[in-house]
Amino acid sequence: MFSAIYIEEEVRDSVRVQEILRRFPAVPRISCNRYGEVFNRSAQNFRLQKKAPALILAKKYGNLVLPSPEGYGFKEGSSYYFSHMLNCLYDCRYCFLQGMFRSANYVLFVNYEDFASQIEELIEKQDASSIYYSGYDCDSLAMEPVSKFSKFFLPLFEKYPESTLEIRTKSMQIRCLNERAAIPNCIVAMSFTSHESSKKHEHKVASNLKRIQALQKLQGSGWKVALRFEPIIFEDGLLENYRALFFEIFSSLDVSQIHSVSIGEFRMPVSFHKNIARIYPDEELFAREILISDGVASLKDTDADVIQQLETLLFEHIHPEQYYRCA
Amino acid sequence: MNSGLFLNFLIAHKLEADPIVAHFKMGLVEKYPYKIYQNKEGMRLIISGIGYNNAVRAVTYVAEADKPKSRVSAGWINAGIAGHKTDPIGSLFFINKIVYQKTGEAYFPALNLVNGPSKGLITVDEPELYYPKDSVYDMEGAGFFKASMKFSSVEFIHSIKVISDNRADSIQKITRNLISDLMTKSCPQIQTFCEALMNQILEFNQVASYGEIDLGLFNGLHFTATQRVRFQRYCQRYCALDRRDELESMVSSKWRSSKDLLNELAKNLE
Repeated sequence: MFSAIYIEEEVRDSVRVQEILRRFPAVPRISCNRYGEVFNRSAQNFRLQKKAPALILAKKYGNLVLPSPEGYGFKEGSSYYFSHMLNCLYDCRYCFLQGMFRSANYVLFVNYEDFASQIEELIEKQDASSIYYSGYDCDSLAMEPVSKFSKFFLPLFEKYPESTLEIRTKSMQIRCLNERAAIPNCIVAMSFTSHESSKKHEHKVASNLKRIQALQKLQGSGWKVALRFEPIIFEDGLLENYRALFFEIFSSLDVSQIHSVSIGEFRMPVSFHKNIARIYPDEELFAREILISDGVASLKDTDADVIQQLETLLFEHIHPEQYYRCA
Repeated sequence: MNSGLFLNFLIAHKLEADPIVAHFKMGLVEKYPYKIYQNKEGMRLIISGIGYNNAVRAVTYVAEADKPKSRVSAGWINAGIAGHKTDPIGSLFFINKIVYQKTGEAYFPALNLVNGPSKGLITVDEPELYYPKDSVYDMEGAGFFKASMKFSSVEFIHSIKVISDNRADSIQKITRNLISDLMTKSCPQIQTFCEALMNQILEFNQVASYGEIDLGLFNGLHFTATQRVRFQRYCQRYCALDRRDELESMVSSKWRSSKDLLNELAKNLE
């Protein structure tokens, strides 16, 4: 599964690290002082590493819980995100992480207790009804058997029913959720793109059908689910493709119980776009014309009109109050 | 270096180099300041001399000499004998971490292509006789890696060490024949690794040169360094968008200046 496991000396003896190491007895273990020695080197290639990434077990310092980027979430008011992991098991060609990080290795920050302290501090001192997003720099559930992320963080949020945890994922690793009682203040947000876009851009990811089936199971177990249609990337027959996807999804789920639905266009900081175009010069998506506004690149062919037409299609299935557009 | 050369061996001593030179059918191409061998398959070997600084100088020498001639990325392998406290003589290890004992600087070779046992390496300035840690000991690895990283991506830089001495069989027992024998026996494993590495480099270089068009086609047109980069990126975009025919047609037209060509390429992409 991993080409190597790098371990920061500071966390080497932690129970969580030892448990992870026991799962992979044959993978070479290499000690390092700080994860940046491996992860932040300048002379490395994301594309090559993605073929056989290593796992880095590290401790995260400083601000572990940060205010969400503007327009990220579904509600006005205070919202935060936290990343217990950097990089993702999947290989979605549109993903901004390819341009944000130099390395495709996975970094797992194992000091969950420090994340929990900061989350609790924010909940208790600032705003009990705040929202916490997980899955910004990784897929929250994809590495669950190794990370035990939900096993640790769900009980934390169970203690604070006024706060909300959104777990953003494309993963089928839902056993960890279905094996326990649902938590009303936890939302499992599944990302989708059209079948055509998914086939073209989402490598190593489960099919849309499997994701829908996972959502059905979650709804059946009482979990709140949400749908994230992003990134929207212009393609031939886009509206028809999404019309079909919307029908497939909304005819499979209890629509009234869907927490929220969002649509977001393809966008990322220009510097990330530039980095990705450099490592994937042969990629059609990154050869397209882009629009640049305030340092953010978006696709010229996927404009506001396209998004609006998709919203119209979406409102054939859901109530507008369930919807928000990602900024 | 011509553009067909893309795998460099750095070997400290001629006794370690000779079996590799023979195995890969390399011929001597340069005698001074370094003995350099190469073959027709894109492999080259340089004998650096013993020690950290010699390794730095040798890597820098060949890489700098290549710079003006080649745009392709090259692979680097440091192979040779080394010590370990207990591992049997003849054991071969891919190196997963290199520490220069003098400064503590650490390097982490990637293991994505490695299909065999790996160990950490400590580079020392004086021969190590006691081997205190569970690491392999050599005298070049850190200098080699430090210098190579200036010229190549870390995925292309590797160290392969064959155990020649341990606490039971000390460094004093190493003979010419032992070195030759150890390196000769390691060659098949080194070759397997080289093949995987060369495939990776080839693939990488193909991606890096994707859509590239030779600027020599434009007789009389001058391109600044920035314009060259812009031109090649436009070429890549046309190819990625499956519009190579349009590109070729535009490129084959007559242009008054490089600026005109670039503007037209850009306009046509809008």
